[in-house]
Amino acid sequence: MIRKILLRFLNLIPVLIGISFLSFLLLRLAPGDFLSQMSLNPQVSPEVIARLRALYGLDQPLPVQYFRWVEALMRGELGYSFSYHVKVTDLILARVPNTLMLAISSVVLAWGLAIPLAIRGAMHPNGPLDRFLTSLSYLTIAIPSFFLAILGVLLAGETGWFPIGGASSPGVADSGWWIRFLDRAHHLILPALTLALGSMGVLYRLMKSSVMDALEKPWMTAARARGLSPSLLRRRYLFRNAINPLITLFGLELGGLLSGAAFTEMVYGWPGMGRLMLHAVMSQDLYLVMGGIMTGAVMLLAGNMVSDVFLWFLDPRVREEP
Amino acid sequence: MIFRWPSAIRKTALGSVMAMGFWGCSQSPVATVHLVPRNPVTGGHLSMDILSDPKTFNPALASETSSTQILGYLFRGLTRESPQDGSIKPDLAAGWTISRGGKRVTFFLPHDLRWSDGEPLDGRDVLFTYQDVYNNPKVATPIRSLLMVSGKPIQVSLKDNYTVVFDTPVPFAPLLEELGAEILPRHILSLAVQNGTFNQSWSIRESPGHIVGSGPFMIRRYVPGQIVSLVVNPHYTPPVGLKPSPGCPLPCLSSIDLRIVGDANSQLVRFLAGKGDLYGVSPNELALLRPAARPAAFTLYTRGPGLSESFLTFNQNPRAPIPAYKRAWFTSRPFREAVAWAIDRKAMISIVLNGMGEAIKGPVSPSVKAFYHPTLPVYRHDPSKARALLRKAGFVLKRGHLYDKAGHRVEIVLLTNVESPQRMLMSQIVQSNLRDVGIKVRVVGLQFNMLATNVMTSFNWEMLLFGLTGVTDPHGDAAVWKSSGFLHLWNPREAHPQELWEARVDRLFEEGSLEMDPVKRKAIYAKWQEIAHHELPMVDLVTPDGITAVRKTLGGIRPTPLGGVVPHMTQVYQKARIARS
Amino acid sequence: MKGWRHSFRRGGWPARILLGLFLLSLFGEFIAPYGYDDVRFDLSYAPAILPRLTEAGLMVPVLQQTDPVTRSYKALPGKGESVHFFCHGDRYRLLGIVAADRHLFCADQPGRVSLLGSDALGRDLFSRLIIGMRLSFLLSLFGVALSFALGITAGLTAGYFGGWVDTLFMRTGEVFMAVPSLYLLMGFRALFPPGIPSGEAAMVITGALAMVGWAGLARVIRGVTMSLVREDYVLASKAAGATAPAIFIKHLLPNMSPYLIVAVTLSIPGFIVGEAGLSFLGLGVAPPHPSLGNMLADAQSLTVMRTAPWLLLSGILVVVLVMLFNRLGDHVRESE
Repeated sequence: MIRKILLRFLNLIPVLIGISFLSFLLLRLAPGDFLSQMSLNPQVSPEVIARLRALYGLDQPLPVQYFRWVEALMRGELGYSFSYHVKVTDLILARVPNTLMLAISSVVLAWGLAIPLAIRGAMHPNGPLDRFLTSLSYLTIAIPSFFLAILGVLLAGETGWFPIGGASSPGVADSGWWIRFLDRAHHLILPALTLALGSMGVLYRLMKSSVMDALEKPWMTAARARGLSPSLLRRRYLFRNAINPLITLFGLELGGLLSGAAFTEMVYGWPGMGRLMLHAVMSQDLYLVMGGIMTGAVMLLAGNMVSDVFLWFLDPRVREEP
Repeated sequence: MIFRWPSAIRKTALGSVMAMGFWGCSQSPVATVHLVPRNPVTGGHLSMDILSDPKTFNPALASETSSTQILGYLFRGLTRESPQDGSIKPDLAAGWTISRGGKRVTFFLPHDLRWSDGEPLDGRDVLFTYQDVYNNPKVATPIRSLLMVSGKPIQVSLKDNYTVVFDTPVPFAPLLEELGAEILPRHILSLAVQNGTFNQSWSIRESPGHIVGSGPFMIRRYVPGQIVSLVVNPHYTPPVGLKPSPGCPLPCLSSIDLRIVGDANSQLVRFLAGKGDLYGVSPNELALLRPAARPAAFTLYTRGPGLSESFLTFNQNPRAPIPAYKRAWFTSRPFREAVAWAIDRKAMISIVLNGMGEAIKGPVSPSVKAFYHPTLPVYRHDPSKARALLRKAGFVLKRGHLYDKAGHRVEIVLLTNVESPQRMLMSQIVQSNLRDVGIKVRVVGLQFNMLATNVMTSFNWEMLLFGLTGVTDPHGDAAVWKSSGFLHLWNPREAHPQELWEARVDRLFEEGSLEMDPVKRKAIYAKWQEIAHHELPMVDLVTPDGITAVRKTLGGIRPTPLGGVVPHMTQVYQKARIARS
Repeated sequence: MKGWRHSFRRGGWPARILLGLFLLSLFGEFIAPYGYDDVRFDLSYAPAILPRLTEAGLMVPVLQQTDPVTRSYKALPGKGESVHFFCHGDRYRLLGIVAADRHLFCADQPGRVSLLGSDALGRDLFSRLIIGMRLSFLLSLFGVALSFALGITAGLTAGYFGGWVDTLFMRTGEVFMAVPSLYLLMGFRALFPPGIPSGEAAMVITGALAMVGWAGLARVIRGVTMSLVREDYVLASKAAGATAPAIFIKHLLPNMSPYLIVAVTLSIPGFIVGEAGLSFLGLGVAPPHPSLGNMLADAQSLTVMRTAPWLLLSGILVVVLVMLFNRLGDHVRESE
C-alpha cells in the first residue's frame, strides 16, 4: 500500500504538468487577454495598452510565458494578479478560511444528514419518511442553486432573521471572540444550508439506491439467515458494500472544498474563492486563474487519492491483488 | 442596468452612485485607523452597497468603476467637472490663467492645502504626479493617453511651490478637463517610484493608514469581499465655490460604509429591508420599487438622460473577413438610414427601460448643454419609409424577404455583449423590427472579451449593438469619430478617410481641439453632430433615465443631470443629526 | 439487462407522461397558438389572457397597457375577439418537414389567447414553453447519452484492466476535472465562429457539456468496477476466455445498473439548466429560440419574479420533468 501511495505521488507530477499546460493552451484558444477589456474604451489608447501588455509580459509567445510561469512556480511563486497588483498567493490565502468554513459546514451538513437518512429510507422504502425525503430530493435536485440562493435572500429580507451579505457584521470587529463566532455562524447558516440542500438530494438518492441494491445481494440474505444482529449487519456488511460509489464521490467533494461555489457566494455576498475565480476567469487575469486552477488541482488530486485509499481499506474486494 | 465599461478613467463626479461593476474580491489584513472626530457637528453616518471590491487604492492604476468610485472620495485633481452642465471648475486649484494663445495654463494653489496625514500639499506634489507618475513609462497607468497633445506629453514646471505651469505644443481645449486627474502625495510615493515598485504600491493589501489623499474622506478599514469603511478627512479643504449644507461643515457626514454585495438581487432585497441609504435603480426595478416607495421610507429621484448610450453600427472595413456584397450594403448610406427608420425606439424604451428613457438623437447627450445640438430630429419608427428607401437603393422585397441587386438575401449577424440582459433584449427588438422590412437578423451574444477581439482585432463582425463610455467633452470621442481613431468602430485606423464626410469630421475635430473660445467650439461640434446624424455610421438607439432611491432620512440631496442625485457627497447629512444639534 | 423496450414497459406512469409531453412538444407548432418569436411589444409582461364563454361564443378580452413602469394592463370594456379552433395562423413546418399554418386554437387580431402570460417582448409563454421543452428534451437526452457513453467506457476500461490503463484514463480525467468547466468551455467556444447556426450549435452544446461531465462519472464507475472484477462470476468467465467487452455487457453493467439509472436521472437537470449557462458564452440556444434553460435565465431577477411570476413556470416545468425522470428511474430500478 505504501508503495502504491508513493507511486501515486509520482504520478501527480505529469498530471499537474498536463493541467497547467492545458490551461495555458486554453488561454491561447480563448480570444483576447486581460487588456482586451480596455480596448473598447475611448479613453485608453492602443499605445498605452501595448505598453501595459509588455509590462505584464503578455506580448511574449505562449511557450515563453508558460516556462516563465513554471520557473516562478519552482521558486514557490504564483505571480501577480493583473487586476489587483497583488501576489496571487496572498489573494488566494486570504480567501481560504472563508471558503473552507462554508464548504466544510455544508459538506458536514449534507453528508451527516443524507447518509443516515438514506440508510433508514432504504430499510423502509416507500414509508412516510422515504416518500417525504424522495419528493424533497426531487425538488432540490431540480431547482438550480442560484434560485435556492435567491429564495434564501428573500427569506432573510422578509423576516429579518438573517443578515444579507458578507461573512460578518461591521460592528463586531472589536468584540470578543464569542460574539464574533456567533456573528459568523449567523452569516453562515443560509449559504451553508443552500449548498447542503443542493447536494443532499443527490446524496440521498444515490446512497438509498446503493443500500437497497446491497440489501438484495445474496450475501445479505446469507448473513441474515445466519442470524446476525441487524446493527452488526448494517455495520459490517451493508455499509461497506453500499458505500463504494459514495467514497469516490466523497473524494471528489473533498477535492472541491477549495473551489468555492461562485453563484451561491455571489448572491449571499460571501467572500469566498468562487467569486474570486469567476471574476478572474471572466477578466482573464492569467496568473490568478492559473493559481486558482493549480490550487484546485492539488485539492482534487489529494481528494481522489484519499478516496482511493479509503476504497482500499473499506472495500476488501478492491484490495485483493489479481 | 446598462452594462458599464470597466473603466471610467476620468474622475467621476463625487457621489454618483455606480450601480454596476464587476464581481470582484480581494483581501488584506484588517487594519484600523483610530481618529478623534475634528468637529462636534456631524451629519451622521451613511451606508450603501457596492457590487464589487476595489481592485487597488492607487488612483494612477485604477481602471474600473469599483475602484474609481471609492477613490473619488479619497482623491482630488486640480479641476473638477460641474455636475450641472459639465463645465470645468477648480477643485484643488484656487484658479488658473490661460496665456500664449492657449498653449500655456498656469495654476495657482491655495497655501493651506494639506494631505490627510497633515503634511502640506503644494506644487511639488503636482509636479511629481504628472512628471514622475503619469508620464513615467514604467508606471502601468492608463491615464497617460489622456495627457498626450499631438503625440507629445504635456510639459509641467513649477514657478514657485504654489504656481504650476502646463505647456502644450499647440492650444488644447480639453486640457482643463484632463487635469482633473488625481494628484498623488510625493512624500509617500516618491520612494516607490524610485525603487520601481510603484505598480505594486497602494494595493488593496496596503494598511489604510498609509493611503494618504486630499479628498473629503479617508479609508478607515477594508475587509475584502465585505466592506470599505471611510471616515472624514480632518485636513480636508473644500474647493472654491462649493457651498456647505446649512448648519454643517464640509463634509457633513462623519463616516461612510460601503458594503460589498456582489449580486444586484441581494442589494435590492437589502435596500427594501431598510439597509443602506442610497440605491442606484435600474429602470426595470421600478416595477417593484415604485409601488413600494409610497408607504416606505424612500424617495425615487429621476434625473433625466445621462451619458450612457447605445447604438447600432455596421462593419464598413475593407480589411474585414466578410463578403464584399455585405460590406456594400453597410457602406450604402440609404441602407443605414433605412435601418434607422425601421427601429422602434418607443418599444425599446417601454420594454427595456419601463418607459423611463429617451430616444437618442445624436452623439452628444442633452445633459451636456455646452455642446448639445437641440434641433436634430429623431428617427421615428417608420417601416414604410425604410422600405421605400431600400427600394430606391436597389433592394427588392420578395415574399417578405429582402434581396440586394445581385440577388443576395439580406441576412445579418448582430453581435452584442451577453453580460447585459438589456442589450440582449434590445437586439431582439432590432431583430423583430428589421424582419418587418425583410432583413433577417441573427442575434449572437458574446462574452465581452470575445466581442472585443472580434470587433477590434479580427474585424470579424457584421452589425454590432453596443454602447461606449460617455464623455462630456466631445474631444473625448475623437478616438471614435476621427477616421484614424482606434475606436472608429466601423472602419478603425484608416490611413486616409474613406468617405468625404469622414474627412470633414476629421477636420472638425482638429479645429475643435485647437479652439479655446467656447462659443466657436460649440458651433464646430454642432456641424459634426449634423454630419453624424445624416451619415449614420452609428444608428443611435435609447438612453435610460438615471434613477436613484434615497432614504427619506437623508438631507443634502441635489439631483443633477451628470453627477447623479448626490453630486457632492460632502453636502449629504442625516436629517435627524443636524436637527438635533 | 433485458433490453430497453422491456424497461420502458416497466417504466409505468412516469414513462407514459414523459412520452406524452415529448409528443406534445414534437407537435408543438400545431398546439401552440403563436410562433416562439411572435412578438407583441404592447403586451410586455402581460398576464394570462384566458378565453371566456359569452353569448357570442368563446371570447378573449383585449388588453391595453395602462402604465409602462409597473406593467399594469386593463381590459378594454366592450371589446373582445373570438377564439377559434383549427384556425390559420403563423406558418411553420410540422416536424421540420410538412409546411402548415393550422393551429389548435387562436384568437382574432388584435386579441390574443395567452394561457400562461407573456414575456418581456410580449411573446406567448405557453407557446414558447412547448417548443422550448422539445429542445431541452433532445439536448438532455443526447447529452446524457454522450457523456455516459464516454464515462462508462472510460470507467469500465480503467477499472477492469487496472495498471497503466487505469492510470492513463484516470489521470486524463483528472486533467479535465481540474480545469474549471467555464474556462474549458471558453476555450472550446473559441473553436467556432461567432455566429454558428443553431442546428450546429445544438450539437456543439451537447459535445461541450459531455466533455465536461464524463470524468466524474468515469471515476465512480471505475471504483465500482474495481470491486466487481474480483467477484467469482467475473473471474470464472474470464478464465473461460470471455473477452473484455463481453464481460462488461454480461456481468459488469447489469451489476451497476441500479447506480447507473439513478446517476442518469440525476444528471438530466444538469443538462437542461447547463445549457442556459452555455448561452452565457454565446454557445447556447441563440435568442429568440426558446429553451427551458434560457427561459429560466430570463426569470432570474427578483423584479421579474415579483412582477411577472409566471415566467418561473419554465423552472417549474424543469422541476416536473426532473421529477418524472427520477420517478421513471425508480420504476425501472424497482422492476428489475
